Amino acid sequence: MGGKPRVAFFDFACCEGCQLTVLGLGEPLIELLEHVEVVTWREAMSEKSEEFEVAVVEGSITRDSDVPRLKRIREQASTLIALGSCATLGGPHVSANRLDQSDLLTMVYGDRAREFEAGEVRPLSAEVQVDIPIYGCPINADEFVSVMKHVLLGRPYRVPNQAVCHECKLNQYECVYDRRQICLGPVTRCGCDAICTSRGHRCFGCRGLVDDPNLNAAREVLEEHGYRVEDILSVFELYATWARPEEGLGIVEPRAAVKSRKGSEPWRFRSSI
Amino acid sequence: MTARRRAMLGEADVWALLERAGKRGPLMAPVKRGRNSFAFEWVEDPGAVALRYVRTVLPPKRAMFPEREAFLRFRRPPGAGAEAVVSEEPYVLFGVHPCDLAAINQLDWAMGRRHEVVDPNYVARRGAATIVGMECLPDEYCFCPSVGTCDTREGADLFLTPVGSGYLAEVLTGKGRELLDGRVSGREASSEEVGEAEAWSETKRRMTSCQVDAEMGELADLLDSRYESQVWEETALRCYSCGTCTIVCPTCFCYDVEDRLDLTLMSGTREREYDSCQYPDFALVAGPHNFREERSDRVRHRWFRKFVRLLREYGKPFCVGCGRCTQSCTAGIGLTSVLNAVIAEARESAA
Repeated sequence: MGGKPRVAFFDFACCEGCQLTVLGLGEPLIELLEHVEVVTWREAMSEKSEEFEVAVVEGSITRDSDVPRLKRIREQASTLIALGSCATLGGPHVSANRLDQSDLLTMVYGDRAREFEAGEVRPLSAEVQVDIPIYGCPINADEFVSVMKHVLLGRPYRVPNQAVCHECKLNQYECVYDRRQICLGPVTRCGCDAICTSRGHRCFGCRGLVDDPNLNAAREVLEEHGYRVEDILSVFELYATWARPEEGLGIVEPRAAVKSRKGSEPWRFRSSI
Repeated sequence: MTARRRAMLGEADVWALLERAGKRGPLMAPVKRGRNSFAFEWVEDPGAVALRYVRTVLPPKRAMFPEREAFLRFRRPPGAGAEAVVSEEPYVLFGVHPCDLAAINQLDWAMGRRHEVVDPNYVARRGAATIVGMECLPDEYCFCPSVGTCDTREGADLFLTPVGSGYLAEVLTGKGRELLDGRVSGREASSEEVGEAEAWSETKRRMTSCQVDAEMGELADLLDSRYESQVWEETALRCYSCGTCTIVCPTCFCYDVEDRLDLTLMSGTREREYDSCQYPDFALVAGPHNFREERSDRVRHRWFRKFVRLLREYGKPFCVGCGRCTQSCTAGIGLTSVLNAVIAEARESAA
């Protein structure tokens, strides 16, 4: 690269909250600037440059007309970092994919619906290769710093692949299920340090599903907590829609494995949870 | 007073003991966390200590084997120097139940005696501890009688059993005597009071509602014969691989290591954090090859580790019946349920 690597921030459909999280880093941001040169960052400065090595991209793709811009960024960047749930998973607005597009436009823009463009909401990875995903809504600022260190040293970054339960237990938070509520922690990727359960909330799954989620277990457990089959998908809708959990949850295809073993539950400690 | 082997303390004496322990140095003890959960924590205010609790989220092993721990400070480039980070500051660990004492004894073996190379951080932190044990009553998840841990005293320096409105204190080591000596008043326990303390053991056995349907001596062979059992597959259909069962386990000792650099990029710390054999990447090695890629392989591994391999090596199961794994499994998988299902299969196929 020669000199400091040049970093550029970009955004597509998002609330820009993840970039704001980076801006709010405080001292670590100043220290980071010892090692990198930020050349483009609309949210933070007026200068612009088309020349950079590292692209940090927030937001999801919702319009076909956004795709060429994303592809140009990808061509220029030697490292492309997808920042936050919108860029990595499609974001909360990915649930719009379940609705009819023209209904949706009318709902939002009324008479002027025809003046606007909207398409399938998708993560960056649907269009280009993403080198490092940073999950979260918003991102965990510490993880951003850690990713930048790995990039600066040219080391591979290991994306967390444990469930939120890992960090929740390390912090000794009371289990949400022990409060007789449901929680997506057991199937959601950690890295957030269990921030929601630390504040008495449940996990909403903003970092997406772990690589190999047991959705069969998730469905059974939710059913045992009183969720009807038709409600279970809505629990996953906010962040996991792009991952299409329907099949794993057994909502589109009957779950052969489960059917064959009903009545034999050798693992069960009690008759109900 | 001169400390006696068995002294009767009033509750006020126990608070005074905590106060004194807190003044002397760091104090780790159970405190109430959520609506109904407890945690072993470094306490600033000894008044916040919970004298009665059933179980904590993480076991007290975190005093000597913290869930996250920096153990090396280093500088770059390689060769620029590094120093081990070991804390030997004496501390008091208060309120450890018999099952957790048994687990600490097992970790003493695993981290300090099992291999020629010891874990220096564990050994140093263990040596710095003065441990005050506390008698307890089981709930529906406990099965300490099955695994022979409910009367454990070994590992404690001082052990307290609630008797009447006070506590019977057993002084077990010089450290325990030192903690009591001269600072906390107390009187010699009467034979009735000693009898009442000894009756706890029987009460605990009577109150325990789940059990392992086999003698510990036959367990390893029984499981070994059911390596191919369907129970592992059936349990895996329900298991999230979230790792909770192993993270909260008082006898698990696996950890992962990562180097974390400071923002100067020229120095950093090497840190460890609890790892779990239930994680998909746990057995991922170069290649890449994963020798326990299937969830059912990982499920089986957990029971085989505790009740076959380490049982054969250590002579006792690497499970102390604390019930944490079962209580905290959001999918409702019971450690004894799975174990007993496999035991039943083994007996059936042998018959």
